[in-house]
Amino acid sequence: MILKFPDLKSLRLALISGAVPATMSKAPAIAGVDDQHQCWVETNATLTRSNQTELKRLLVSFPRSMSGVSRQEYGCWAEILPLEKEPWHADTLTQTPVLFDLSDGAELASLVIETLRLGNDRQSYRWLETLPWKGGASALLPESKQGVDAPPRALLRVVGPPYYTLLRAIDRIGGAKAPVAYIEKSPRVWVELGYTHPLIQEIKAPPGKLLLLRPSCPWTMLAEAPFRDVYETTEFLLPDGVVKFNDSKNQTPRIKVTLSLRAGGPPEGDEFWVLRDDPLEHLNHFVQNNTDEVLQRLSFAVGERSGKKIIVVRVRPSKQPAPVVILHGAIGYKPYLKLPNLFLPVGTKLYPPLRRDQVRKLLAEDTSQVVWLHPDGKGSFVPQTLPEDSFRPLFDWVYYVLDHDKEPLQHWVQAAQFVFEPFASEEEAVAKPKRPPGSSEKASRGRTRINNSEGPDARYQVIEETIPTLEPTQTIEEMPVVLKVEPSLAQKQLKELEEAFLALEGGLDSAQRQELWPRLAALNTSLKNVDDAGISWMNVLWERDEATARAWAWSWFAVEAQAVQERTTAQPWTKRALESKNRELPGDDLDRLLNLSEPATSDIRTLAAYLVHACLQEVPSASLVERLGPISRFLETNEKLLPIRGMWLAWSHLAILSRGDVLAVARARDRVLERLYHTGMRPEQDLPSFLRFAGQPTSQRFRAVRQWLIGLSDLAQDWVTTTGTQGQTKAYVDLIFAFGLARLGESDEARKRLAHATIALNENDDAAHKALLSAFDYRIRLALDGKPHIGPLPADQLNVLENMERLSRYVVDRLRKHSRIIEPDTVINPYRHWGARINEFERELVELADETDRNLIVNRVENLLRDIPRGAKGAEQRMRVLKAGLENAPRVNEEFARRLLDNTIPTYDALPEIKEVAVLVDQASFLEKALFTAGHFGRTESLHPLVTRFKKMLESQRGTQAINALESLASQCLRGLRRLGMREEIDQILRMMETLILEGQDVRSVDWKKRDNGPAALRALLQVASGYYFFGKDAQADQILGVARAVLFAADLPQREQTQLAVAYARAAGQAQVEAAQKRLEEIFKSLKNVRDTYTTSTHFSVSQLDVVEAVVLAVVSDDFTVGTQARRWLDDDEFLVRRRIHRDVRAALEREV
Amino acid sequence: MAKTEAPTLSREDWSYEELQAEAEELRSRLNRFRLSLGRFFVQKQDLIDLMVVAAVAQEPLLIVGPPGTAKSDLVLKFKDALGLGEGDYFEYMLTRFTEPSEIVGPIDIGKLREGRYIRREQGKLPTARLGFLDEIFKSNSAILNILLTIINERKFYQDGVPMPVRLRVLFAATNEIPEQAELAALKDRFCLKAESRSVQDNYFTNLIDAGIQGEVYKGLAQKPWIEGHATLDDMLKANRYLTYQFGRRHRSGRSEEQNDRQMYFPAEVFDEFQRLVKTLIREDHIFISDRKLVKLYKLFRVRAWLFTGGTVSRDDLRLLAYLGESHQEIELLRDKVPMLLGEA
Repeated sequence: MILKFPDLKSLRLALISGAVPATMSKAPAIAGVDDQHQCWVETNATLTRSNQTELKRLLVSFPRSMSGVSRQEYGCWAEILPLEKEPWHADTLTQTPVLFDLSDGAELASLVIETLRLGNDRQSYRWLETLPWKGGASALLPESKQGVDAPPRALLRVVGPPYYTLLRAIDRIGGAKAPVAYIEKSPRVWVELGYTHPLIQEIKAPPGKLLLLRPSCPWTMLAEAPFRDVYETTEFLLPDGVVKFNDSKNQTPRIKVTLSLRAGGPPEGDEFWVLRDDPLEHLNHFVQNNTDEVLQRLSFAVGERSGKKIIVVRVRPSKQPAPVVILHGAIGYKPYLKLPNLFLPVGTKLYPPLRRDQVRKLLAEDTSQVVWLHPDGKGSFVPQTLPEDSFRPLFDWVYYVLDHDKEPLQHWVQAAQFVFEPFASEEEAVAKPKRPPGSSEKASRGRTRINNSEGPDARYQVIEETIPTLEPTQTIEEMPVVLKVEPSLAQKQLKELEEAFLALEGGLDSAQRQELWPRLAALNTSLKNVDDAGISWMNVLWERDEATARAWAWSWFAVEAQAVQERTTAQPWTKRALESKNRELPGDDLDRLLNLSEPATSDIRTLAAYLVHACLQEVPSASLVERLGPISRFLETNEKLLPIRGMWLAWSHLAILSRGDVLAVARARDRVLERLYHTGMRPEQDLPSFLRFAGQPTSQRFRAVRQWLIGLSDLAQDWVTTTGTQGQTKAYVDLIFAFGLARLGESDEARKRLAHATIALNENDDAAHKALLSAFDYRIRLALDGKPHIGPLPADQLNVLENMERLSRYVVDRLRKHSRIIEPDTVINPYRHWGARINEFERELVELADETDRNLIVNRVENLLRDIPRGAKGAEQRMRVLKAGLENAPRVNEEFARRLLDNTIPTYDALPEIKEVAVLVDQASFLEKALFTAGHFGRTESLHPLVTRFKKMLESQRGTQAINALESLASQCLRGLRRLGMREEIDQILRMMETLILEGQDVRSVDWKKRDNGPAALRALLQVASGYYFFGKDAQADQILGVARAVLFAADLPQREQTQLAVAYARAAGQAQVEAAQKRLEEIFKSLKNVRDTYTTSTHFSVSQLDVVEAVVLAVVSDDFTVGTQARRWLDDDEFLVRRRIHRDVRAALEREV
Repeated sequence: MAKTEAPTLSREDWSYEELQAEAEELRSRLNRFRLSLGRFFVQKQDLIDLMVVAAVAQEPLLIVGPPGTAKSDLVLKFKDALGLGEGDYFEYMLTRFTEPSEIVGPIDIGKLREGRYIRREQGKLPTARLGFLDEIFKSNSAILNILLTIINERKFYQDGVPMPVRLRVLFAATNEIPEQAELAALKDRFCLKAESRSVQDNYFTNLIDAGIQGEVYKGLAQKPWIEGHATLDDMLKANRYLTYQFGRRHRSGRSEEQNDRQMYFPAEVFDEFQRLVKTLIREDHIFISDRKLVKLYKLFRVRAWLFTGGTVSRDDLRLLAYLGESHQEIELLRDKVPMLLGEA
């Protein structure tokens, strides 16, 4: 019987629909396709009438003969359908078995060896002896001895073969001998890689058989048989040998070994110095000849032995490399085997070398003692010690004094205005130098005084020297009072203009505001407000076309040039240019500027203005063009004196002068971004005074806050007493306030509280208290030194923790987990040492967090990413690595950030569905890090996909879990976005969150106590309120705070909820206007009840109470609080505008180059 | 230091017949040259071979390595051994403050006043035949732009008018390979990037002995590596000879025309080449531009001719190990290419 199908699709349909009955389709057939693509099938089976009718409906006809068709035999009808191409990816095959069919068995060895060489030993094989194929139906090829003349054939099964090996099959390398690779598409049906059969799911191999499908080839059927592992035959049995030695029966006597010092290691890297002969003279010489930066890095202790004084100087803990110190008359030491309290002379090592734990046991077991090995010159040594707490910061004992008294001059009052030396809100910089505790009132002139009478150990005698006179710099308050005069017309105009500027709606870049800048600049210029005029001109020139900029650039130069000082023998270097008609700086004036070793801010700002002016001229000045190299060097050295805008204007125009030096622009961009990342825009440098002091004057605010915080500390102590003191909570409250006061520059008050806490916490010799005290001490000292509050604890403290007894360690880790003062960046899991051992991956991640070297960060991240399994399986791990990388990316470079961002979206999309709050928070923080990095480097193409995903994530959250997560989500997303100008996005996110939490109700009408998960929802709402404050929507935020306040002070929440709500309330209150915020925060300590806990750690402190105190203190010392939200908002807006222009310029420069 | 002696003039228009007669002799001179020069270094033979291959192919070579790993010394001795005159050689250490005038000559101020932007290039890179630029990635984009034009087009613009340069061989060195995207174009121009590694771990004694001997040579102002085995002209001749060959059509026994690839690149080695490239791109994301693939072909052929005088073999494919664009890639390829080739 012959059937003619209109095409192969019809045949397929007939097979699927059952129009061709199974009995017929399973039988062999002869078939062919003619020129019109019609498919002819001849079969011995017969069709019933109903089947025929059905087939006719599919346009199948039943001719009597097959003519004009080349015919071929098939084992079954499905075989007539050809295989179809199918895309495939090597990444999906990492765990998939692939069957290599080698028609020439001689190739097996080379294939196996190659695969083994490339690291894959998951291989097994079978030998087949084939019967030559005779055409027609599929032949069953048994594993037999038949067909001895046929070439041997082999099957190699490899799980996840290397791509290199797969290419042998894909590219048919080796021609006819090339292997064919098959994938198992359905049980026991293997199809050639890159193909599939249209009925693959329907094809079932007979029991005990395998089926191999290749395009344009008859199907091959094999008997199923076990594959032999490649290692099956490789077993090396060695002959039995004779043992030649027995254990000795004698007891080995103990062997005495005398330790000595031998030469070894580089003679450098000293971090510890001991002065023996005339130590004070040497130290005085040292402090008088070194910068304060070096001195701030050192601490010292004075000791006495046999009536002879010695002074020991050491480097204070820091993440920075140790300073290079040249201390005459001292022996230099450095730490040995990373033991924090053991020092060996540089260039020596201990002989014989011992394990670290042995050395510690022998020489440095007591960590409260610092030990150094004093060499006797003959190889032997004497261990000498000093208590750890006898070391004091060297800088605190050094006074800088003037040789001559100040000569107060009569102030001069100009008719209508006053030109003040600009000052920023840095009162601490001009405050009276504070005397170290215990210093004498009398002082003499010009000497350094060193006094360690505070040392807790009486063995260490006081060294008394002549005491220097203190000549404090005058404070602002002590300056002569300026006479009050009526403001001039220009001043009135300026004030009006500033008010108009502030009153306008919209961002800093709004068109109306842009129009006001030139007028502000002109008025400030006419009033000789050089700083404000300069910043206004920079804003004028920031977004202008070339012609307009050309007209105004000279005005900027002219006003900046007014501030350039005359120097001892010469007129200002700008004078001749200002007087000349061609508006060019003569070469020798430029040289004078470039030769200045310590240029003033005015010099650099004027140079920046001149570069902009010169670049905009049709023919740039030849004297400038000839000096572009030295100018670049000079500018790079001193660019930190420039406002960010000035810096960028200078570099972008300098690059144009250098004929489009794109690399210089890119490098300048990197430096600007780094500066923005580390310090952001600074009000005193980057904003004109009327924006800087928008709202309450910053200096007043700052001073008031400091005084108020001191009072608040007493309130907090009273609150702890009233609520019920647990353990040493009060000492920790002292430490928290000490940190806050240190951040605000109240060093005396900070030190006082630190000293109180130190005494209290050292009372019981408790390891946990000691460790926590060290941690706070480190953070407080960083704050006192004005260093950023970032990074992990120092290595020596972490070492101590590593070796601590487990319960004490838990107590310490518990507070580390809660306290953002101790651990500003990382949330510690206190249970991790109780659970399973940390695995290699986790360890790598932890180490990555501590890594500071940029190249090593890149290496570590790339290595980690490389080792993670591809595809969805490794998505979670990949996310964690990417997150850690993104955290560091702003410090590394754009290329690194780009690579990570390219991976972020695919990785995020491959993440499994969120089922737990912790996972949700993790993913949100991942997106937030990516958003920040994308914004930082201006990679707008990544921003919107990320924001979209963030919103989707938010939308997908419903119910109790969502409420729990929202609080974390809100705090994660707002921080980074606002500095990137994403106002709209934040606003949308805030509104979405509010809707989610309130479920359409009014905030006042919700009964938060009865509502499911009410306190958590209220906390999330408080985060939203923080955002509203930022946008100036104070009324909406106040309303939320009002509701939260009522719930909080009603005090009928469970203790844990009460604490958490208080913390969220304090954080949100910190964003409010300062007076309102102060009242709210004070009220916490006056009226808050029911904050106690019964955790394991309550023997040491009340975590709950400390949580509340820390939240209040951190809210007070935040930039938003001290600078003022309004000024901070200007700064954030301004930072966005700066970033936008920088990225645009660099992109344009690159495009120009291309 | 820039050298100012006048360059020697030489012809480069040799005919194929002239070169064919001399080809074997050229090959053996160049082989003597590379092997003899190798005696003056510890474990740098591979690098010297690569320098010779790059020089014959007239492809720039970037030597990457930490300070003190003989990068500059290799180039200096290479130059000496070729007997190059001072005017034919230019070397300079670049910094980000290096100005174009230091590399391609100062602007002629007199002519600038006439409105013409002309550089006095005498004694600078455009007039040298062998150039060595140390710390190349530290330079600024003005210099990078000039270098790109010189490397790509063998041209140098004077007042907007392209002028041919004499530079034939360019070596560059760097301690670090920065990742800035702005440098990608220049990095891509250096098809080969070879690592000069410290050898003290495995060849401590040899290193000390050779180092002391080197100090002696220096102290006594001796240069025994100048043995006159080959000259720069020999390399240029070899280049021209192979260029002729690339363009020739060969007739096989059955009168079918065969091009250079069919003649000198056996199919199985060519398949292997493709397989390696695909694997490196897929598995390790190594970027190999189309331009680089073509250059690689040329380099394989040069190496095969130089080392065996015949067809390209699997061993020549080892050049793929020098394609890394970053330290990580260089390190990876150093191990991976031999592993894939089965020679590790």
